[in-house]
Amino acid sequence: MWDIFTAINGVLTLPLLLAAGWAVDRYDPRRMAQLGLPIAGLGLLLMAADRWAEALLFIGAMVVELGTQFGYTLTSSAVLNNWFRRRKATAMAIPLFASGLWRLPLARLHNWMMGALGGTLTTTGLGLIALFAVIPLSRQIHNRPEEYGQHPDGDGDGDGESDGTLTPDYSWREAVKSRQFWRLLLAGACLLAAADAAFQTLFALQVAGRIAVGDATPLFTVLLVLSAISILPGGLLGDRIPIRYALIGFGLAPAVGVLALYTNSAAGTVAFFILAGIGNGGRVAPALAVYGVYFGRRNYATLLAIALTVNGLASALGSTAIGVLMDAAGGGAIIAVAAILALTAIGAGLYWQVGPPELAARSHPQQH
Amino acid sequence: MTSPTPAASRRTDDGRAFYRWRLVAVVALIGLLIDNGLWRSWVPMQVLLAHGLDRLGLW
Repeated sequence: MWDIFTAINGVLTLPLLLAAGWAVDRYDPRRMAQLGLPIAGLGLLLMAADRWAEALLFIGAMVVELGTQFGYTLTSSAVLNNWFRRRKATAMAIPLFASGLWRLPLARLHNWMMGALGGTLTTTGLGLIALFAVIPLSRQIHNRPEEYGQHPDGDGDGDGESDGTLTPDYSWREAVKSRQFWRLLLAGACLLAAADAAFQTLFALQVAGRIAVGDATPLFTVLLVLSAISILPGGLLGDRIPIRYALIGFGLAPAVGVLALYTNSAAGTVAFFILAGIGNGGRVAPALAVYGVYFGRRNYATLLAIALTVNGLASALGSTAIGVLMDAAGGGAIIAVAAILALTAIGAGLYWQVGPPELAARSHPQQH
Repeated sequence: MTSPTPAASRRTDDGRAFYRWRLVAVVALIGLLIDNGLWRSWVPMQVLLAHGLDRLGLW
């Protein structure tokens, strides 16, 4: 059953994401939130009904996924991209930071409730709370500041030229024709594949008993907590320095961590977990905001959906390729380390080459 | 007491920042309820373990 769920979910997730991106741009984030979030809430209730039929758990999880894809993942970033200009990454970091931190106590709380109240009551209760809370909350999603007589960042003109920063506004067609889009896309994919490959290397070394720390469990907790905590500083940094430099910095962290891991010392292993945690969390908000910084608001959700799709594929390929490489090399980690460093170098180089944001070609006078 | 707003001072926020940051809070609250990772991975996994994944030979 789990196999089937994973397969269906995997096959559906990427096209759903693209469809959601298109829908958020075509209609508006508020409408998508009002449609998607109750669907996600209903999915939770379906999951709660799994005592009657086990399949409902999986169907429910898929409905939650569907509702979340349409109602939250792209919608939330798109709406914040509309309201913020110079603080995009910070604005996107705050909800993710909150979710990341909340995840740890929530898992414990849920566990306790499952014991005290039983599974059905817990999941039904939480499903009902979620369902009835998201309906009024989704009504508080406001699409664009202009609809309320405001402007992004509260600036009067909103074009940003008064402070010397450009505010590009690309259609998705213009964006996919631009070199910057492909460089951003490939850079993000390379660095994500490298980060995932770094974890794959870690697991392979751990299984082979070649990690210099006896019990890695506390280190995984450190990794989880650091990944959550780093989201906020990542967003703040992404708004304060050119966003591509922030992405390069967080992208380099796992590669440096893998080098530390390769020293086969306890300090090196700890350094890996710390660097991987910081890199993992720190890049999240800038990676979402960067498409708004470079391509503006008009087709942001579509472009982000394309980027997340490519990232999903890169992430899967990165982990698989490292496993294959390590097997081919008889379990040797050096080849994995070399591949991770190469991917990181390509990704960082591409980000470097992206250069500062530019206006769409049509905005330049007299261009043919 | 309200004076016409000259272009230069329109850049000052007039307390409107509240609306933007309230939106961030709304998005965060929805995230806590729906997109917290629990429903999408942890709960299915936990229930799955309870259903005896090992017996199915999938773990």
